[in-house]
Amino acid sequence: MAGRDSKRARWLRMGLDTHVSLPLFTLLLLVVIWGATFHFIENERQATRTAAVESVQELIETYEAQVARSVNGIEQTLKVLKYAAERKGQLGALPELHAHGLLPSGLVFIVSIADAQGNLVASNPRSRSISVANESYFQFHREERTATTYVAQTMRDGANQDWHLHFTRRLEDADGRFAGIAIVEVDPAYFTSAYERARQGERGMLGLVGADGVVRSLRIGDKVSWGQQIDQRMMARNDMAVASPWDGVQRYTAMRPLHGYSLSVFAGLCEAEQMAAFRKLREEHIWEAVIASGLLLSVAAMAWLWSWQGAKARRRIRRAQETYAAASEANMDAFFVLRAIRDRDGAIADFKFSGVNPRAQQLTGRSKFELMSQSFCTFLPAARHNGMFERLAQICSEGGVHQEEGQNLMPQFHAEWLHWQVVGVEGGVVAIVRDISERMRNEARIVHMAHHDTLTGLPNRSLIADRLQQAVLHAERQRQSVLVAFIDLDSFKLVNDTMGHNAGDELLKVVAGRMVDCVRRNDTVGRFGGDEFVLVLPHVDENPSALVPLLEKILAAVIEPIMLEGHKMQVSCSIGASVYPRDGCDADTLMMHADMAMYRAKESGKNNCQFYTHEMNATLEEKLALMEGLRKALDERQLRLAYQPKIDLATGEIFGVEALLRWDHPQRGIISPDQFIPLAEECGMILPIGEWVLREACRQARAWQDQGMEPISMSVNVSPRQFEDVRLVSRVENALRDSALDARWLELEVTESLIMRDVTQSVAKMRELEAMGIALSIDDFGTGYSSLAALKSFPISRLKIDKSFVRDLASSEDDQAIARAIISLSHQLHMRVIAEGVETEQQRSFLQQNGCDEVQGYLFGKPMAAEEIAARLPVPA
Amino acid sequence: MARQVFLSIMLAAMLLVSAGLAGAADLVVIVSARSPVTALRADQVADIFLAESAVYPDGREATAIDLGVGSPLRDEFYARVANRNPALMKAYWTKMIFTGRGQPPRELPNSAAVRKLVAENPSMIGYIERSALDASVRPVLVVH
Repeated sequence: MAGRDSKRARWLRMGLDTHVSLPLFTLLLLVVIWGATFHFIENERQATRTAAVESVQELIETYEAQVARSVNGIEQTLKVLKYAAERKGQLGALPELHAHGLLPSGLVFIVSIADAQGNLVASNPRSRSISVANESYFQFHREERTATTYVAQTMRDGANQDWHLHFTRRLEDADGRFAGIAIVEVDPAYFTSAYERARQGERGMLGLVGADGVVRSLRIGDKVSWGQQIDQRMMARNDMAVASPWDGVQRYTAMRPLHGYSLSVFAGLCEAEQMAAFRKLREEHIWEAVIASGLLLSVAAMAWLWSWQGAKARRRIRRAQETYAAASEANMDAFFVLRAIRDRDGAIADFKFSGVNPRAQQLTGRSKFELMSQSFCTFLPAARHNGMFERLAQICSEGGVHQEEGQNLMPQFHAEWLHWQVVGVEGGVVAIVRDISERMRNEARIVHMAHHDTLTGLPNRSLIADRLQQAVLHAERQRQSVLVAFIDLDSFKLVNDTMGHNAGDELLKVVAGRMVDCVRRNDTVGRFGGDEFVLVLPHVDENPSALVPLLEKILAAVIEPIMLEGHKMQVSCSIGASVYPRDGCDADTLMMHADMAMYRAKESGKNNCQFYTHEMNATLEEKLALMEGLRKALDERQLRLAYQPKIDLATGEIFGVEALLRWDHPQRGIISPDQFIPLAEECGMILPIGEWVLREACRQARAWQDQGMEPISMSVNVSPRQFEDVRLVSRVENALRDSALDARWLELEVTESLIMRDVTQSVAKMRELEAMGIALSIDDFGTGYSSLAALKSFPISRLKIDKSFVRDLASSEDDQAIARAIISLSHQLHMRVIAEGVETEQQRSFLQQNGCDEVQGYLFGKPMAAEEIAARLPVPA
Repeated sequence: MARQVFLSIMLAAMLLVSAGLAGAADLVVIVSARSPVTALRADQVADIFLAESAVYPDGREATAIDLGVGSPLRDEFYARVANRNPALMKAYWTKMIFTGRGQPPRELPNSAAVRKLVAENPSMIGYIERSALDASVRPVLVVH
């Protein structure tokens, strides 16, 4: 409905628009002009035709009278002739009449008398005497005894070579017998001599026709003719023009019969001639209409063009206004259209709101009416003092665009941060104000996120580095010290692994909170990553030991018990500290040294704090030297294998050996595997070394067999890096193939914790090895956290009881229980059990009594060279 | 158109007149010696002979007397006075008679008959050969 209304309104507006209505009006005027023109023309045509018809009527009346009189005159002459002939005789009649002046003018009329035989006996003017006995008129009178005048057809004869009309009358003698005829001949042109060019034109028509339909005389223009046959009924039509049969010219015609004679007169006016004046008039009218139309059209076109330009301009303005309205209504920015109020001097005194959009009302909390009923400075008194008014006035007078953003201090605007864009327009300014609080908050959050740890909210690594750098620069200027401490939670991994990551996160949060509580306001506690935290304590006196209480406070705070998911937990931490400028002059060095000190704290039994010392650096240097040496060791054949026998308790015989790595350092002598294996792990040398061990062990086992010894099992330890190597299986395959050792004589020992890192993948890998026929055993069983459920699915053939349980077997009942449990568990799972580190007879007997299958240890043999083993091996018989 | 026709007729007439001039005898228009009319212009004579006018310029009745059709003198007279050849004269009288506006003058056979009749009637007017002139009649116009 509303749509239809608006549609109607639009049509109405369009109709009112001059550029639409003007053409319609012009069209109307054109219709009127042409309608009137054609109306006049039609009227003129009717009038002309009526005049022509009337004119023909007048003509025929006059003509009828003239012809009637003429014919009467001729008849009179005939009667006189008859009288004279009957009285004076046919020969005497004409002289008698002539003498009395009773003969018609010989110039026009020929008067003759024929006797009963048809011979012309007299005529005036005198002419040849011929016989007319064969002529129709003579025969008519001879046969018909009638007194009527006979009008013959136009003809010529021997007496008169010109064409004539014969009017004849019967003569009788005293007895009433046929005595001849009286003749009056006349030129046919006589009857049409009344033709007037002035009145009838060049193609008008006058004529005389007999009752037989044969034309006696016909004049058209100057031309006289006769003899045509005509349809008298058609001639009698007087309401419309008809085509004359002889020349096809359209004529208005009239016809009248002459009373008493078998003759009719007819007249005609050429339609074309009669209408000529009308046609000229019509042409003039049409020209007038054409000129009037042309004038009207050109005037209308100019007016239309003018109004169309106007309408176009109005439409453009309206569209611009609508566009602005639509844009500003829906805009998320607040629009304030301000019109300058000027004082008497023309200076801007204030502004007035001349338009605001809904968003502006929302931003100010005022209605449009409220805003527009007050001036700008009334609404915003602060504008006078904070420079805003001056700025607006400047933009208003100078134009241009001004932008700024900042915190909003004016309570009239309900936003924390505002972006102002002020555009100078004619007579005022438009202020486009955007609430950017959300954006600013987001930006602040992003900045915070970039510099803070999301879990604990503490500064992150980059901010810590930044803060430390700042602190160092500051300390450099102030000749002060800065303390950097690395804090690492002890056994945090345990919490994560056993209680899950959520508990771990919770723990980190609590510990972080405690650490923050311990430090001063200027100090920084940051999370470096994982379970590592960094402390930056600026403004430290020269003696850093003053800060020891603070660090100890942190140690104490961290170790406080924590409730996690209903469990009471306790974690300790190890702290390493370094001090600027004593331990380093830049942030990186300080961090590195603090880290080093922290490792020292870990090594020193955890839950303690260590300050960096130069010795620590020395240790590091030693470590680096060892690593370097290790790289050479393989090439220079400094590594060798020692073999410890494994004894089957049931037989007391050696059934296998465990290959153990030894490093004969050229300067330092023998270096313990405990010392260099972690280093090899660290620097990646473990892989080539492990490979060498595997190949050497396989080679040796085969060598013994080749020497003719009884085949024994060769156990090789697999380090975590080796086990994780995807090519482990192929490496083992290669070692076996190259040494030609049967796979069943190779046993790989893996640690519990190694398998537990990724149980699924470990099992897959172990199954591959098992498929090759290689035996697998779990080293150090009982020291890690084995999932017994997982253990069930492991393709393990042997469990090794760790030497830590064997050591105190004699005295510790706990260890006895553990050993018994492991032995029992193994048998339940169909595995064999071997105990390592067996040094005493008591240990041996306990193990034997409790069903342990195998043992190894000093009691049975230290690790020894291949030759010694060969000596102890039985040679098959 | 009518004007053109008229002009061409005039031209033709003048040629004819000049052609016949040498051999033609002079004509005189006469009235009775008793008539008060002394002189007439050619157009006045033509008006009377063509039945355009029935009176002399002074208002007295005027009756024209003509010679017979075919008389050379007659043809010459009309050619000179009315600028009409015989065909035109016939057409003229045909129309006059038909429309009833007038009748041709009474015709006499020769100049002597004309002179005699004119001499006897002061209202009459005729034309004769100059040679036939005598005291009974008065020439009012000599036609060359």
